[in-house]
Amino acid sequence: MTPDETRLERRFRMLLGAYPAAWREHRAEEVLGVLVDSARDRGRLRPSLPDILDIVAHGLVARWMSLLLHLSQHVRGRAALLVITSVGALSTALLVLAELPWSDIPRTWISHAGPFMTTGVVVYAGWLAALLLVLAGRPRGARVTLAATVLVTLLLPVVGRLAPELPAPPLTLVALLVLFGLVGLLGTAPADRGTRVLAGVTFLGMVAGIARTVDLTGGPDLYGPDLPPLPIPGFYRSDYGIEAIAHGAALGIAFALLIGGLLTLAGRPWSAAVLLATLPWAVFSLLLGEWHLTSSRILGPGPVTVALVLAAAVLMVGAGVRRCAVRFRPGGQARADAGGVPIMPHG
Amino acid sequence: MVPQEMREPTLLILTALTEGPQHGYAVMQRVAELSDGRVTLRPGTLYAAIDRLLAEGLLVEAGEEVVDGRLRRYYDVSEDGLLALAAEARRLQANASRAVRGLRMRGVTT
Repeated sequence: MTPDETRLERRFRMLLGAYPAAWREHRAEEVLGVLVDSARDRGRLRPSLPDILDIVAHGLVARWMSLLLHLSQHVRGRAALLVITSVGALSTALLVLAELPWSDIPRTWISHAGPFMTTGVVVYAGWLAALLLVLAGRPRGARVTLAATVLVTLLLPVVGRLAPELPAPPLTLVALLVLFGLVGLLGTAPADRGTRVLAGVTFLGMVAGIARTVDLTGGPDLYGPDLPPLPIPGFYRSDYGIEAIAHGAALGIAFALLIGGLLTLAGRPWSAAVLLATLPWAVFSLLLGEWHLTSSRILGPGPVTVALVLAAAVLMVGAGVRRCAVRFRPGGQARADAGGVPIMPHG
Repeated sequence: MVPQEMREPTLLILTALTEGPQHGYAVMQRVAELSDGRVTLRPGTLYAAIDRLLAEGLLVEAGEEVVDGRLRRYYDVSEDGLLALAAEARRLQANASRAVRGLRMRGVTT
């Protein structure tokens, strides 16, 4: 082999690092041969840009797929349901708190997308439509709607840049909604009646929780006496909405963990789905929480923190009890879901 | 269930392998020839398709050898792959016949 070929092979080998280890073990030597033969026939001494993009893109897709294969279809479907339900509640909060121009602030001070504050209203409507489809027993329709919503979410900052009269929501929120969307697209939500009722109750509980948390953690003190009263008691003005959402996000995590814990106790293996669905919520809460610490009203010890700790405890106790129940079941063969929680044969 | 339409690279890969077992690079070259250079598969795309077709049972591995110190793995189309290709060929042929009939009615010859 010439020094040029050795160098070329080394570069291709490095690019193949984009693929997961299991794939490389089976395929790397074979594909390396194809890459080198193909480059040699084209008289190339280094990988072409299209080759680099082709290898890296397919490598990353293979990594993502390999990650997905470790999660069962049930876990992905349940995670999708939890994400759609909780982000549906978040979208309701954002629509009311951040999009409707409640305040008397002159329109020259802030941009408006038609009657709304930003173009984010389209995205929130998309999430709510996906939730309604899930509740109506149309999970595939919900998935298509969610995919379209994710695409629109990605376009909003571009539209906002090209047309300043159509402002996008904050980039942090756009990125996080895309993250929620990707988790929501991992699977198809279950369509049985019991699960749909549970999703409806969770949604209503979260919306009520957000409103209640806002009330408990400051309420009317957060807007001045010179501003008009709010149409819905307990909600902030649009310009204070972000604080309520930070609380709401933390409450979302608590609620999801609580539901997951109770379901695990009841013999339904939801723990892995809950953890997966909670991941974007945790990122959201951390990001907004960091911002929030700079203000005087920190997300400190209070009902939200207590709810989080209690919910996590219920989840852990639930998982522990299930594990013990299966271990001591005479003659029982325990299986485990992706979250490590044993699945009862009838579950 | 309505069978899914086969994408062109898949059709060409299966068609290439109807001529007998071939290794990856040979499949790439044959696909380019069959499509008159219109479809150029890059290795990442080719192996993504091969992995998918193996998982769907439309391809099978048909041995391997080492040539000039490099591993070559051969692939062949399976029975299911032949059936799927035949179904797709019939579908394309039926569509093409309808298009030709329509064109003839408008006085256009193909």
